[in-house]
Amino acid sequence: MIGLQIVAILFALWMVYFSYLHFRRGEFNKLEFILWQLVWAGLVVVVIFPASVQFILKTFSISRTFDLIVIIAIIILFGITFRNYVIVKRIEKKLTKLVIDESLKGIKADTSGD
Amino acid sequence: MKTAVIIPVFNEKSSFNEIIRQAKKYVDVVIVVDDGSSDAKRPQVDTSTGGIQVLRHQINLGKGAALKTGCEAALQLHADIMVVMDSDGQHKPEDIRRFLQVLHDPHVDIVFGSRKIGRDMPLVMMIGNKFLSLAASILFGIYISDTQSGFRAFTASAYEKIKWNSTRYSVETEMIANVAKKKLAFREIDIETIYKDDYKGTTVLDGVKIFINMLIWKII
Repeated sequence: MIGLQIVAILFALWMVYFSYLHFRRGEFNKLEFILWQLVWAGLVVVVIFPASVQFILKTFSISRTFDLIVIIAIIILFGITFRNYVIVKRIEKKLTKLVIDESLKGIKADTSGD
Repeated sequence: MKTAVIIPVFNEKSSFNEIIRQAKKYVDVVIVVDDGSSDAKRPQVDTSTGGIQVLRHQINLGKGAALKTGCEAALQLHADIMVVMDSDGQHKPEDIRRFLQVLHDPHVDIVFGSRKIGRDMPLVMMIGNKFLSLAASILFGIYISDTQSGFRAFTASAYEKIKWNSTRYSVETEMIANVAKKKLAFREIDIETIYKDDYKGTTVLDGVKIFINMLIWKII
């Protein structure tokens, strides 16, 4: 289990750095930065002290801490995927409208006669 | 009555000036919508005869969006009747006259051009088309023998009612769904179609997507 724990901690530290990088570039605001840092810090805590989430495991009848992490990860992934879908759809709609409106500016004064 | 024909174009160079010239004989204005063709294949439209509008999308959006641009332009030009047709030479501009004749009947809102099923029509297209016709009949309660034909004509008021959201090849089917929902009066006329080897229209995958969209339109 130690090997897996080391990999998880390295991954979390890597993501802490990445979150910081996005914050520095202005792509994350302060709130987003803090939220992501909390997520990665939480992961590190759970990986080092698996017993710290024992009460959650008992409440939801989950047998292992690893299973809990996987379940939470899947929930987060579904959430992010849905959010991405909504954002892409919104951008697609705006882009379509923008391109159509822009092309309509090319209409020349009607010469065919009404 | 002012008439407009809308021709969406994408990376099309061959023979389409002839199609525009022929189409212009039957309508007041021809609106060519270049749907973001690449620089090398950007269509060179001969506008010397007048009554020809060329609009350009900065990026490729798809046939549905190009038709929407064309129809919106036709509205701005105060067109009463809009005809939509393909630019690849599949449709005969002479048929425009027949579309307009049918639309002169005030009880008709939209006219669908239906390709004859024959030896010329590729088998996959024939099966797919019949399947979609059947699906449209079951889901929306109207039977159009050729749901994927891009040769159609409608009044400006009908366009306002059937405005579509599809940007790609689902546009033809969404039109049918909207015609059914708005209970518009429609007619079908037979059209001649010339199938070319470099066919760029609906593929089997498009057909599957269209069917899924039909189910969604039924629910929404």
